[in-house]
Amino acid sequence: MFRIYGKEEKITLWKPGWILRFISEERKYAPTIKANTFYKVLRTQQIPYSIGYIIPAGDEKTIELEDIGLYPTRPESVYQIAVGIGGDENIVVYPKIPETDFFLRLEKSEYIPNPSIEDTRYIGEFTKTDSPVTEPKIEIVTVKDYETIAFLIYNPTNEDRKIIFEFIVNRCLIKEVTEEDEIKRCNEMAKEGRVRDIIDYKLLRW
Amino acid sequence: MIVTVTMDTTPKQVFTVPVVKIGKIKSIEILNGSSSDVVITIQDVYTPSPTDENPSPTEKIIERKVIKVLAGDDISLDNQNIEVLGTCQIVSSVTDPNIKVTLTFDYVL
Repeated sequence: MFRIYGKEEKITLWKPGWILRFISEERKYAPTIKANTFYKVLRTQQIPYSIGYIIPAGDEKTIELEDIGLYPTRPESVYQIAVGIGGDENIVVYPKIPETDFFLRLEKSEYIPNPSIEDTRYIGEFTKTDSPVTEPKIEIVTVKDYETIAFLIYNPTNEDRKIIFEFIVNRCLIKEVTEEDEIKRCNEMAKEGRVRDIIDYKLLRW
Repeated sequence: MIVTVTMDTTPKQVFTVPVVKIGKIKSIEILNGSSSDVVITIQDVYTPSPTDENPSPTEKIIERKVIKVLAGDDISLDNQNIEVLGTCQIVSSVTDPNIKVTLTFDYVL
């Protein structure tokens, strides 16, 4: 799941006791996570993680989040990740889910992001300004064996530049809510907007 | 942070920027107590990250600043904001222990 928060919004890290629900049209959100089922956050651990890349002038680099350790390996874990960006303000980053498809795109085929074409370079991208390290606005949720989420990083300038990602990984231990009384309570909470829904990326592709 | 190096003609490594920061040289002071004019070159040495086009990049040496200082002269340059991505090294055209270079720098995000 990938979400960009608005200017006035703030990413809130999940806490023990919070209820999550993974929304999907399929029976499973991921191989180890049931869709449309309540899960309770039992414990959390916040892990800061920074990584930097020097991107040559006019060049691009794809990083798959699983390859840099941002997917849990345990089925009972969820990573809620706040993504802050530092370094050069000109470097653009495109989210891709799966790794072959630009996630944020317009419907007309000529308006799919293309970093090498100026007219479509600034569609569905984000930069340091959009999600600064001091106040990240990009949130990604990963679970074991979920579809590949990648970043395509592009340097549009004529000099080599550095981009730095500062992640806060909120590692959460979750457990399916199975008791009838608790499920009933969760349904009430959902009606009141007090359940955190994590939407499968396929539902955002219509 | 401030570092002073005494120059000879071999490159002097001054600082290495952490991979998750960018180095910024804020000021440069050069004392040329020698009897020769000297050209001081500030270089940035780094290897770019592997990219989709080039999975095996090679090391680059980029000249960030070149300064000529006359014999017996001193130069002080403030408000420089020179960016360094990798290792900052200084090269002098003249070997003389009386040539000293002081850099003031910081690491930023």
